[in-house]
Amino acid sequence: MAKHFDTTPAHAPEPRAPRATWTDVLVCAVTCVLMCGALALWGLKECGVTLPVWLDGETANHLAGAVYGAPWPESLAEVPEAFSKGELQEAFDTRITQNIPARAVALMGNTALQRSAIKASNTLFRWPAYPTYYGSNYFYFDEFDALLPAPLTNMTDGWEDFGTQIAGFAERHPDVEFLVYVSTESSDADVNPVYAYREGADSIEDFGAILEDTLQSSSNVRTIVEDFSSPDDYYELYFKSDNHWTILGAEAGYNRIAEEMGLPALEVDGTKELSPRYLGSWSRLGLADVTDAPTDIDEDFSDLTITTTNNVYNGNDHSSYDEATELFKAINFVQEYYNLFGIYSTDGIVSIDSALVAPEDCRPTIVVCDSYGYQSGRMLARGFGHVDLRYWLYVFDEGDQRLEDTLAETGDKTVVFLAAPQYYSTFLSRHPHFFE
Amino acid sequence: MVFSSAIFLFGFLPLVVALYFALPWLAAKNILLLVASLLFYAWGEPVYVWLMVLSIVANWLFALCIGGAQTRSARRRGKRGSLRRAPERALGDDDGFDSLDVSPAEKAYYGSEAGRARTPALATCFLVLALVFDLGALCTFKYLPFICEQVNRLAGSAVLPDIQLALPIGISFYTLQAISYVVDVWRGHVKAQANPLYLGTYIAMFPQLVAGPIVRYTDIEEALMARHTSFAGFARGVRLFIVGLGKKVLLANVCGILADSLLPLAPADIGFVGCASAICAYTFQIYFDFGGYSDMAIGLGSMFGFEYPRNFNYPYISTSTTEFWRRWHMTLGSFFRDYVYIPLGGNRVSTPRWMLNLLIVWGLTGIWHGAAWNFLLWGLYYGVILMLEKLFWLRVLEKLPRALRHLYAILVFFFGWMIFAVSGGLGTTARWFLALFGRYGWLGTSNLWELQSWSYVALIPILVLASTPIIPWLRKKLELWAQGASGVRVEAAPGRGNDFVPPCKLSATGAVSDARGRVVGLISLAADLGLLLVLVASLMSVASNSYNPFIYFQF
Repeated sequence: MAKHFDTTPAHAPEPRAPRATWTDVLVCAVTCVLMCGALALWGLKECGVTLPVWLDGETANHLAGAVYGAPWPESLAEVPEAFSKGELQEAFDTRITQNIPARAVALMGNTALQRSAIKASNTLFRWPAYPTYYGSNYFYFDEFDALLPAPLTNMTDGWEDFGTQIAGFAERHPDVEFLVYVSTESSDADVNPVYAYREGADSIEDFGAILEDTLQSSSNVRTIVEDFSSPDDYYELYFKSDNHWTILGAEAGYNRIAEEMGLPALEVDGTKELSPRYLGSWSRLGLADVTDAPTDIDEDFSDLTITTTNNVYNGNDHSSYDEATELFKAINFVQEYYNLFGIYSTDGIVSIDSALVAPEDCRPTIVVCDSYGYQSGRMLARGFGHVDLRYWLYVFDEGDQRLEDTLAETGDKTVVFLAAPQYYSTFLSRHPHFFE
Repeated sequence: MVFSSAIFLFGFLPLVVALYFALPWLAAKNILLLVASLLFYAWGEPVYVWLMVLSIVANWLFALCIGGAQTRSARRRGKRGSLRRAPERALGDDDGFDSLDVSPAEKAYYGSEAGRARTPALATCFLVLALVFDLGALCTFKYLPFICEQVNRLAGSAVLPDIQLALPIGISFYTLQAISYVVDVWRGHVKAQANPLYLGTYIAMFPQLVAGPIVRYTDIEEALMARHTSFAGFARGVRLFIVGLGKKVLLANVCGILADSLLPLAPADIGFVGCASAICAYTFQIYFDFGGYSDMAIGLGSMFGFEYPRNFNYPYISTSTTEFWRRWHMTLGSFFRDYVYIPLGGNRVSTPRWMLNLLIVWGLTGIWHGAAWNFLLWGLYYGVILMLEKLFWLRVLEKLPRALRHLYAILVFFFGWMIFAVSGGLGTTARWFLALFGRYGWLGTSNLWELQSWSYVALIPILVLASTPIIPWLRKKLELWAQGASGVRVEAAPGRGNDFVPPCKLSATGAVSDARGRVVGLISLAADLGLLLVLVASLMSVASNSYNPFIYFQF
């Protein structure tokens, strides 16, 4: 044990490089370019320079990790207060982050890097699905080059509530026919392998059992709960990068409804492929570059008249999609092409009439749905003759609508519910008076 | 603002660097650094910046008063005031506090009897006032809410008000810097800085403001008054900054995701695998987080012409706890050594008093990290282990093979981080401890997939290698090879005398043959390109707004 405090001079720093070398210049120059990029881009945009899509921050704003603008103080006098509240800082932060060059590439590149580490780790374990990046709630399904959401949890109470309330409502309205259609959206344990590893997950099978239990004495309520036996079957009808069914899934869904309700089946001759490829919501949220081929059926829907609050459209109208930028087409295919937020309505009220259905065969129907109604709306109108689409099952929709009022208002005698299981679970907390 | 945020990397830093080098005068550069530092701090702490300004002004005044009292006292004695030369610090030579002996030079230095006789009472009064101010501010914001909570808990009722104060970021760091300054003025090692703006630049300098290294005034006094910035020095700083950014963003943040997902869970739910992987992840996270931050700080300092001391010297390669603390958070260790341990008498006292001194120092080290029982326990845990090592255990360890000694050190800091990281009281810590010995089975109530620890397996070799000095070892080997000195044993990160971070650059100097010089040049270029790839990957991560906490901000 040393017994003397060392008073020798401190160890001098290692001598600095005596003179700068060209590699010093290289390192500093590249660093400078990379770090000044955001300020430069911001400046160029302010000068009105149009930048290539890959370089500006627009694409990134549609991916998970998007940053939304905080407002600038309106006058210089407001600056101190905005600074003390942190609002000025937030505004600067936002502008800088939004203007990082090629930020979408950075977002996807960063997660791809992490996913490669996860994939390498998985070679030892061989799990069928693994997170798209560290901490992600989306999983990459290696065998199918598809994405999966985390299994549903805490759904049961909402499902039981829905089943009980619709049973009570149906009992009070024996003259109305009800159909509850539950689309899978990867919540099937036979489709989504992650269900096997998540304790306490709620699957579509659980919802089916609850509906069966609560509706056993409701003769005027029919249910269709999708049930796939394998991922192969599922991916024939659903996107790999998105929660929605494809147009073929919508067709299959319609035909099941038609069979149940005694409507004519829809026979599709073929499909047509659109472009660009679809980067679905799971790809955007999971930041994984999985895409699907966007398709539509070869069917003439010119017999359909689509009426929204402000406009009237023809069933073949896809002008919103046709006029959209390539970026929007790629990330909003389902919404933009099949539409209904885009062109048909902004308040979720749409009615569609088919000229092919004779008035005496027409069965006016209320379709309470989420975005699954986008693709199937035209088909349902062709079958029922008239449908009143209400997007009240959509995840963000809230209100105090009452089904009784809607039935009285429209005079319809059929109600179809169409959504993925989780939206049924939250429906009555968002529309608490619906079945009153 | 944090170094790994978009606003710092893409906005603040480029602008400050550009302005700094555009200004021709040193005084203007210093003022720019002060203004930029205050803005850096105020960005996230608009209110508490005034507390820091108050601290700067107060310490400036106290130091001036101390210096004035000393000058007047010296004049009365008929001598010109002169500086007592401070013994040079040797950060690596404290041997974990055990070899601190007080030589005649230090007797004066540390306020020995002779020294105290020359120190006017008035100066000591001002010192006490300064310490009361600095420690008072620290205690108020950091410990008062905790003390009130504990008193109320003991009393079983609200005897004291329930105080909720946000901890001003960096207060633990800049307070220690301010204390070291006034104490050094009182000791006569440095002259009081007459210019409050320069003192403000020292205390508030943004590279080391919020998470260290704890820079002493003596470290940068000369540079504040006259410094030379060179492009080579700037490039050296840029390289080190990139290394630190990579450690923080690519390694620490990723480990943090696992640690933060598992640490809040009950040990019974995650079992041995969950608990062990949480602590392993935290072990790497805290090292790369804090070490990365220190590298970035030192790199930034170098860009602006300051030479900051090293803070981490590959602590995870240690073979004893004593060595670990010689390598971990070196500037904090040296602060407590010079300003607490030695003034208490160090080891030049009776053995019981020596042990008490150690426990005091380590208790303080623990609660410096935070006002919570787990931090105090963590400090005392190290205090006891270091005591045992100094009494006999180190001599036993020296007889063991190196691998066993290393394993011992790993176990010590592994369990140390468990105490440190697990909050929720001693009961929770005990349950984590039991879980690590299999009390709740391998996986608790979870399954392996759910824990997600498996997804980090591929990172383990990278994390382990990055914790070792393999890169400096390769660099030194190559440099020696270029000089034709093969077969020389290279110790890349000696525990002693490694107090400054070497340049992250391969350079063959001396008599180097053309062929070998070209090889070294190519490898150097490849290394620089690799470094730029690290920068790109790091910036991609920052641009992604991905998970980005700084652990040491909470201290």
